[in-house]
Amino acid sequence: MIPVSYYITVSILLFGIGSAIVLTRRNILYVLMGIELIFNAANINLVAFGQYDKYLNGQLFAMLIITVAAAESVVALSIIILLFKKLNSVNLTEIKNLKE
Amino acid sequence: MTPVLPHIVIQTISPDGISRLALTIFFMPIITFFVLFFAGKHIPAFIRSWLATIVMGVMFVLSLCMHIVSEGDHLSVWNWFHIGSIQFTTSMLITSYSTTMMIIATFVSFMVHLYSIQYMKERRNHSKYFPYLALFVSSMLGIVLSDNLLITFIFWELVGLSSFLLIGFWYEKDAAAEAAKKAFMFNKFADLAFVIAIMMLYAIYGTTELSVIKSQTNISGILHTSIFALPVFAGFAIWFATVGKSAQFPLYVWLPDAMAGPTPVSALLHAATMVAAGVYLLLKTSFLLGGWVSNCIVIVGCLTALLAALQAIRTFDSKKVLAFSTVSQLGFMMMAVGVGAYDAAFFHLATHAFFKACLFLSVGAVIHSMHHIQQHSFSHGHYKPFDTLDMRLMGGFRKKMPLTFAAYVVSYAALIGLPLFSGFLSKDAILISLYNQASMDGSWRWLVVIASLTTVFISAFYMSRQLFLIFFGEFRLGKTGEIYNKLFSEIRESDWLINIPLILLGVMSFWIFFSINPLHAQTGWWMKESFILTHIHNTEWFIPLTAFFCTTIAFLLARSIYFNQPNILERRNDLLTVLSEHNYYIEKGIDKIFIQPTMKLSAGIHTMDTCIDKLIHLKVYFFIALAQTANVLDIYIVDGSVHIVARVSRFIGSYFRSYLKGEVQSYFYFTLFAFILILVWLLWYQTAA
Repeated sequence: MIPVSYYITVSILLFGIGSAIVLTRRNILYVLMGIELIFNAANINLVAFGQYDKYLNGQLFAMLIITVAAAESVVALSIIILLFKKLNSVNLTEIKNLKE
Repeated sequence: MTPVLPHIVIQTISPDGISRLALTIFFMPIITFFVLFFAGKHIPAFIRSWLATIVMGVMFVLSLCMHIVSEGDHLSVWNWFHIGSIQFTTSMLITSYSTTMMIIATFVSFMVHLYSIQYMKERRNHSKYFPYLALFVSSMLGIVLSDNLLITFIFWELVGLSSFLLIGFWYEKDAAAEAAKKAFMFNKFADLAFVIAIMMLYAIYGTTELSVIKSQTNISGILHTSIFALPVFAGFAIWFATVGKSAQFPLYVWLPDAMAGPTPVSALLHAATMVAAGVYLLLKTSFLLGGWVSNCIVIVGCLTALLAALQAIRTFDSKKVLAFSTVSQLGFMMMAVGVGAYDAAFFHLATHAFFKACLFLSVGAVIHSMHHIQQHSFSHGHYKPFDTLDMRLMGGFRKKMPLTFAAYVVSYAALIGLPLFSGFLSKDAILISLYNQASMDGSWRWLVVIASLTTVFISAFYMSRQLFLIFFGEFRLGKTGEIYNKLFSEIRESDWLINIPLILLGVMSFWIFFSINPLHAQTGWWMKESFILTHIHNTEWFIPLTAFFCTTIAFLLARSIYFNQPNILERRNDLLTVLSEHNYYIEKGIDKIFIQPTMKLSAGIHTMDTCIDKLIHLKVYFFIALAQTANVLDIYIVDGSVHIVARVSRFIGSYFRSYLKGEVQSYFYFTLFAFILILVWLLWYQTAA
């Protein structure tokens, strides 16, 4: 049986990579992908710790998160499409409309 | 629960035949009033006046029948209205007094109606004249018939109202409007006493039915225990009400002014309806009079008789002389009431009604022709107005209007009390009763006898003066312009419609209608048991002789002064003239004693009120200042502290906001930074634990 520390390591790696992508890339699509990685890091954690649960609640919860993430990424992608239509750009340095 | 009102239940008595007849007579003028008042303008003047007159004639005939048929008292009681469970009744009492009074009232009004047909012809507002007369008569009949004080009061006020309407009939003349107002105000003031009397009697006896009150009152018994008992005061209040209506001193001043109305109205007012109402009411409620109230009535009556007679000497207004003479005669009636000679008072009321109406109507005929002279002089281009009532301008009418002169002389003789005339009988009945009272009680009552004999003297003097000034000598107005002489020569006896009332009323001044014995009223027949005088005294010849002596002297004196007076008399400037022109300063006195202090009081109250207003304003200003302070405190302290909190938080917020430039990645950066900080804190916390 694979020890939990391995899962955590993978998860930390995934989180780090995702965060790095989110912080460094300027293309909004990359940023979205980074966020998906961070999601999956959290899912791995849930599944890993979920093996100790007799009722497998962790696994179930991970399934739920995957479903929600799929819906959420649809919303995010449509937002991105609208943004692109409006600003004619996917570069985050040009998108500064969140302030006020 | 005890009842609040002292009400007692009266059994109803259904009216008998006589009462039904009386009710019929009573409702006839009311119907006439309504018909003529509301539909009068659509009826031709000729039909209008004859309708009212014929109704009055029928009423007179019916009253006469009723008087002949009626015997004893006829009391009928009806349910009137009820408040809650309390039933009010009303009643009607027919005695020989009331039937006699009805005959007098209907006869005089019938005569006045006949006279008015001609006199008021083509006058302004003619359509309202006859309904007002009908209202006047019906209210008087109401007073005469009703046995309930409340109903009496209602008709009492209606008499006041209709007199107001008729005195002010020519209201476009300021004098008439003023006189009507004055009459109304003086009467209203006195009527207040009537209301008080009704309230007192209701409080004592629990009813306003006179028959019940009469059966329960024993005024001499009450006076024996306390002279200030409530029923005594009720009698006093009723007397005070009659002081206004029957023109006693000091409230008589409205009566001379009331001459501003049409002359037939004056005749009616002075004879049958208005002033008689007061005396009649006192006769009805005589069971409440006694003790000091009676003395009060005698003294005031005596004062009234004397003062009004004195005023008549100095008056040149032909109608005002008669008005003062009415006041004076009313004083006589009141004196008779005061000494308890109710029969004598009523007798004088009856005889006076006829001869005073006749005097007014005959003087009215003279005034009518004076008026014609004035109008014709206007149409001849002579625009110099003169006073058509002024006796100084008259004179010599004897030859021009012999019938009017005859009527005047007959009623004149009755007024001054010559033997063979009605006034002799009634006046001497009063004088004898005064004399008897004086000889029983003595002291100040002798002064009353002397004063009334003096009044007899003065009455004869001023009446003779009027007789000589109007009917003898030559036409003095002719001295001021030749045209008047020419117009005077064209004067003829008045129309028959004016003459018939004069003849009929003049005939009523003879003794035969009142007593078969021309020298004593003891044998009165016409008025049944009303005038069987009980005072038979062995000195009864002394008083009539003295009175006759006084009258003769006065007549001779007046003859020497005024007979064939060629010149227009000057106004004398002595004390009596000044006093009489100012009505003995009664109005000024009322003004000084009542009106001025009231005005001062109200001015004082006004000042006090403004002071109170100022205090209230001060209070308001105080609260405004307080509110302003509170406002300032609110703005700068309460609001200020809230603003400070808001500003501090806004400052902190803007400080942190300055780090966020709207870049998505920087948000993420900060979130991550915060996450790491939390992790560090968690680690530190774990190691610390």
